[in-house]
Amino acid sequence: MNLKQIGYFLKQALKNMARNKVMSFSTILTVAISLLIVGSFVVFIVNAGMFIENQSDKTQLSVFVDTTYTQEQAKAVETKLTEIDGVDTLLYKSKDEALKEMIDKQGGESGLQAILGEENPMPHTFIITGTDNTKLEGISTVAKTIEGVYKVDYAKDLADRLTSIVNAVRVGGMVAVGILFLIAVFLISTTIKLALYAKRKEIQVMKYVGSSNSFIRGPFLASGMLLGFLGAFLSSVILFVTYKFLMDWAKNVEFLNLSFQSSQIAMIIAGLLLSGILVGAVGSFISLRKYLEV
Amino acid sequence: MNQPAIVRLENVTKVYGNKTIGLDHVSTNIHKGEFVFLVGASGAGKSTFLKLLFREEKPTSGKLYVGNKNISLLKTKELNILRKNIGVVFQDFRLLEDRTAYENIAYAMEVLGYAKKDIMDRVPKILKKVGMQHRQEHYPQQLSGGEQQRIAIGRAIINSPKILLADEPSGNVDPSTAVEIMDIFKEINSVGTTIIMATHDRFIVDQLAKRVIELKKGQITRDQEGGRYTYES
Repeated sequence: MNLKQIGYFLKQALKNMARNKVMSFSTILTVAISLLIVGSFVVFIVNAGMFIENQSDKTQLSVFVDTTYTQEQAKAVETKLTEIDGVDTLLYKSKDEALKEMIDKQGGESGLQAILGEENPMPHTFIITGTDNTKLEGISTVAKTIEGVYKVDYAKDLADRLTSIVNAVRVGGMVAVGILFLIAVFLISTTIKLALYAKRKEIQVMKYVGSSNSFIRGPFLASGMLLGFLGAFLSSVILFVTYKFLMDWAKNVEFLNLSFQSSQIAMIIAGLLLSGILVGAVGSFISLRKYLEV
Repeated sequence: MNQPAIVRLENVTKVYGNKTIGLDHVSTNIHKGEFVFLVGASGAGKSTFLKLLFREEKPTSGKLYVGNKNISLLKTKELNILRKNIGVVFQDFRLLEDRTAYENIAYAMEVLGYAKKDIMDRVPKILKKVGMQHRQEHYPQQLSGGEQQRIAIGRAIINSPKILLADEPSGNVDPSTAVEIMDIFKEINSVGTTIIMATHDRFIVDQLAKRVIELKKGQITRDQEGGRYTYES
């Protein structure tokens, strides 16, 4: 096989597509939708993974004290907290500080202050740093038993819960991805079958004059791969635009700690394009095996 | 004949899937440059004979040599070489309807990977050979049966094949056209191409007085040099 032949195959492939526009277009669209779902999926998994990793790195733990507690009562809780094994540092945030932080976060113009008036719904809060990550769970368990503590939050706990969700999504997603790939392969193979039927007389002539198998198959294989590639290209464009938009938004959400990563999206798009071509090759190969006797 | 056999059948039997017998223990030699008519009733095995040579079908048993190769054993690549060396012409022409006379012949070269320059060089010569240069821009529907058959012959000889197979080539044309078509075959034969032709055309067989192989129920019942179509008792 040389460049000239590949050029010939591509030209024939384009002719095949032009001859059967509706079928080709719907195949490209189906492949695009399938791969878009696959791609979104991968983007979600990758970013959820990054988010989880970010959270798991945090060795902090937030202990919230009953809102009715006074500052003095809170101090008593603090003493007990410092005695827990594994506590490294402890930072106290009073009700007032917590409220001020909240109002600042809202931009100070949200009218939150006006709504609340003299009320302060924020609890006294202690930010505890563990000596290491593994201690956090133990600290959390003990802290919850202390009187006056009504809630303990720690990032790893959140990360663990997220991990189990991501894992569930991953398993379900794998199945969905598998099915979508099968659909795409089936559609391409059907399109190629129609193309084979439309060109049965040409194929007959090719056989009579002794064309090589690769010469007979080449254009159909190229058709399938082109359909797969175009579908993948379309899905890549949509995925890229959506990803860019989402990440521009996520960048402003502090706790997400996610941002646009060109290497990440480039890898995913490269993967999609390759998958598209592969799906196309497999689809046309199936039809060629089944319907083309040489 | 001192020429080596270009086609050799040794006890060749072809039984189709539905138990129909195509050929029944047929042995014969055909030499380079011969012009052979296959005659016999429909279903006698003429088409099977041709299909086997072209390896559209494989023999059920026996050996079938083209050149010095047992063609039942050919690999795909060798099969392509065989087909390049054998031209075929059918009763129903099998031209591509959406291509002109010129394009039909050019297409056959295109799919063999010939360079554009070679195609542009060779197709006009072929058209001239089959007397169709003046009709090259016409589509098959615009051509008479005889003209379509000329194009089909042209397509079959683009590779200058050593053997030309023809299955009822004059079956769809009127008698005077049939004679013209035979003239083309005679000319092709005159430069050393072996021609094996299945036909029902008594007039042509009698006029050309070439070798005649008569088949009946898959067996050779007559093999005669300078033979006539039939000697009905």
